[in-house]
Amino acid sequence: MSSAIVKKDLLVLRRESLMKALLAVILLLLAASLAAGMQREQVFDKEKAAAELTDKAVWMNQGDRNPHSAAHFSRYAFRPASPLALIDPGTSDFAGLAVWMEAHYQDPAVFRRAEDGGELSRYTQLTPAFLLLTAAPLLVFLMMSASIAGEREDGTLRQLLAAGVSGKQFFRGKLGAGLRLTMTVFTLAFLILSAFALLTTPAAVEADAIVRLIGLFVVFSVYLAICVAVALGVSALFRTRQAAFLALAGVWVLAAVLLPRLAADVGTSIHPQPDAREVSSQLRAASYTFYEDKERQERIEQDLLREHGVATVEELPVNYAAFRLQISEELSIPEFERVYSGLEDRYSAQDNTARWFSLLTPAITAAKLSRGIAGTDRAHQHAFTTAAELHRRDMIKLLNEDYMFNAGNDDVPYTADATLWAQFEDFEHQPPTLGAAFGAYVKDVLLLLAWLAAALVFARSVVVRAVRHEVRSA
Amino acid sequence: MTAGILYHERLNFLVRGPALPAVLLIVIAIVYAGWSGDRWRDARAASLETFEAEQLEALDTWRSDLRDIESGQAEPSPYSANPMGISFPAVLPPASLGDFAVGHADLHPASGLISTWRNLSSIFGRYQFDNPSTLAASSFDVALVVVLLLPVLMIAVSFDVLAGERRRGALAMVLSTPVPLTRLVWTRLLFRNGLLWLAAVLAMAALVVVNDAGGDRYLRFALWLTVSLVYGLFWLAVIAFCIARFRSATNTAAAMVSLWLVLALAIPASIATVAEAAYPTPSRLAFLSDVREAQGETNRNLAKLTEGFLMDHPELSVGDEAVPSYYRAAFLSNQAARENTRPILDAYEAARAGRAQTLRLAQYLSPSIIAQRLLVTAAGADLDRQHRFQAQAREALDRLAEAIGPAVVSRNRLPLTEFDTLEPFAFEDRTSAAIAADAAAPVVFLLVLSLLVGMLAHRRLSAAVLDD
Repeated sequence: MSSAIVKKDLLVLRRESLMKALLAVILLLLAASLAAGMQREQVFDKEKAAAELTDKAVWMNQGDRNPHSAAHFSRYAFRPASPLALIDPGTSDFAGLAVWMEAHYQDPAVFRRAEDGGELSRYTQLTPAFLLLTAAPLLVFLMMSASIAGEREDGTLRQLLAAGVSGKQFFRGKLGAGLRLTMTVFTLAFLILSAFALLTTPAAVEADAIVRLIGLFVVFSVYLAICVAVALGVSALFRTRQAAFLALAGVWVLAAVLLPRLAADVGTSIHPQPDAREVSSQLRAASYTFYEDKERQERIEQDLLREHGVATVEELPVNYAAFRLQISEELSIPEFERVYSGLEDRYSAQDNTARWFSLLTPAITAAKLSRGIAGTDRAHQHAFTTAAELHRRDMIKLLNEDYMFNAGNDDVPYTADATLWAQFEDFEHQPPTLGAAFGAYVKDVLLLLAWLAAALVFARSVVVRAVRHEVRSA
Repeated sequence: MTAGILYHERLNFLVRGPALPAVLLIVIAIVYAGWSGDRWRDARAASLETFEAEQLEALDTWRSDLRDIESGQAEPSPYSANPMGISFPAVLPPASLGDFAVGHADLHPASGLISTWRNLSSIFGRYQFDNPSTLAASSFDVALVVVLLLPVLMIAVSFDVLAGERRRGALAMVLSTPVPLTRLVWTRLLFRNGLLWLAAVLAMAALVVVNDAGGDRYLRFALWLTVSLVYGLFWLAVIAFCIARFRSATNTAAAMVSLWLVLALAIPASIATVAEAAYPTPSRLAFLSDVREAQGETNRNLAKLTEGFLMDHPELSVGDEAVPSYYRAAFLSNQAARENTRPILDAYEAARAGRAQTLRLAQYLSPSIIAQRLLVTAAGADLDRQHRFQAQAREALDRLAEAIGPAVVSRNRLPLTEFDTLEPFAFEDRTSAAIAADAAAPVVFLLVLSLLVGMLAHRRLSAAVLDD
């Protein structure tokens, strides 16, 4: 009996011209967003490759120079693009894509692509993830709004019940119809998205990209299934199509459009964004840790003299100026870590505040998982900046040590050449695989599954209650 | 007769309909957005004030050192009162209506240092410390409430103005009364939406007064209100048209929501994508590469460049040889970087101009784009304002480099009289009148469009009398 209901509903839905038009618009937008995303990512790949080449060429061709002077000039670390950014660019456009690995300073990632966006870029962005997370639920709600309310309004529910359909069968049939149509359209669209994403994926990360695509498929499927169940439940709450539709439209505007923005805004209202001026001052202070502490400088100097059994710095077997430079780097590290972990704590506090709104809408959790699995969230950015900082420390140490062990203490200007520059390794960052990063998303996965369970329980109980009510009133 | 309709409306709509929740929701949304915007604006203004005060104090100290050296009260050193130490703060204060829309203001730099230690890529310092997740989500500001939420609430309170009569089959009876259908529909629509808009306007007006920041706030708010009301008028006309066009309330609501999706989200997103694809800006990475190449080249050829500069300025005599050579190196490499990256900046400007032109034309495809653009501009959070600040700061840096370059390269001190002729940076904002003049054409277009759609709706409603 359930399958008969599924068949009948699918037939009715296929006849809805407004539904077809809206579906066509969304699919067209999906194709356009995919094309635009592919173009963007291809251009970015080329630009990044060119910038890396230039950076290396400028570094290698700087001529003979003091290693510390070269450390000030230094090199840049560039963030690799995620192959799935064309499906969900997430936060990647709002995070810097290059880190200057200069001496004395742990710089933030700079050059945010969003700053090159157009006038409407802060208003809305056309990406496949936006369409799947925001527009697709509206289609589902439109499609499902009359599912039960329509049967009640037309009196056909009573006829079905008279034909021996039980409440559970009725629920399974309605849910099956909604899920079947939704998942068929979504699966087809997602297969196309995946094919294009894999076309542009480097072979080295293809296996991880496939796992991530499967993850995205699961997340979007669960999210859309929640939408179907919620729509079914809300439809069963009302006796007329009109009331059910109005309620669902309201749910959509709140859950998919307004609450995700409100959540982030409340997060930054309670935990304001860091003041760039203050953070810059803290970083400056961190970089001066050694030079501002005269007592420590004296102590370190005495320890060094004692260690080498000499009376003056000129007698040391190492260049004392270079030694001080390296010590200043090492003493600044915990201070930089304190500043940046303070920033990370603030970001987490903002995100955690926003997460409370996940209890009101599954869109926030689905969006978070989508960008996490696509490799375009804050955690992946953090992995990049951390790797860049570790590389900076190693490379600045390399330059300082060359200065320290080769310059002597005779006040003759010391310069190094391309032999040393060649030892400054290229920065190569391999983003964490989904398997390695998954731990950070477990809570959100559980939350999304809880949403699915709650939506199904809600839909089932409301539908069964509506059926009982019809039976009683018959 | 209108009074009768209104009386009926008051009972049915206020007591049973979605009016009270809608009014409450809009007031809460506007008050929250205004409170959040006010906090953001105040925090930014305070930070900029502190920054400006710190920099001006440092500059004052620098000037005192120079005065003391010139008057012989202080012993000159190679480091004190060196022209490379001149550093003017450049700040972009939030506009007087900045609490109404955050727009692009949270993404772009609001301060910089006009100093020859800086080049075009470093003039704004390190400012990229915001959480990318919250930046990506954009702000929940009053502009968002007006552009996205208000039309939805208008749809919610309006889509069933004839539904009750049609469902009960009572429309023919209504039509047999002396009340014309058109008057019934328009009166109901105006009453229901009037309530909503009255609440919204009062809430916004309260924000203007409570969060008052002086300046041209009231003029900007007048423009804001004009745009908002005309935008509301457009949606009223669309709603009336849908009511006239579709017989069932469900179809009417579905058509309205679909139109909202297309006009408020799909078209703006598509146009933004098309404009960015058609006019791509040069890569920031290419910009960085050019800066690096210029700096590397300068570092290699410092002696030659210095010699060339001095030959271009035969009037100069070399001053204090004890001034560290990296002062001169920094000046020359930053100057080279500025010159090398000028073509890229020109290309940026060309791309931005192309996008802006595309959007100026394409905005007529969606009233939501018109409203969004004009509201954000009225609040002073538009992209153009950010770009003008950046361009003015770059020009100020060019002027400073031109003024102090000869002294830096020749290792001389800048005379106090010359320093005093240097103009500190002051951002030149557009006047409210200029913003209003730019807004005139789109607002008039929206008004005419609203009237046309409204007339079409009126005609269809009149025809509906015959159908029913």
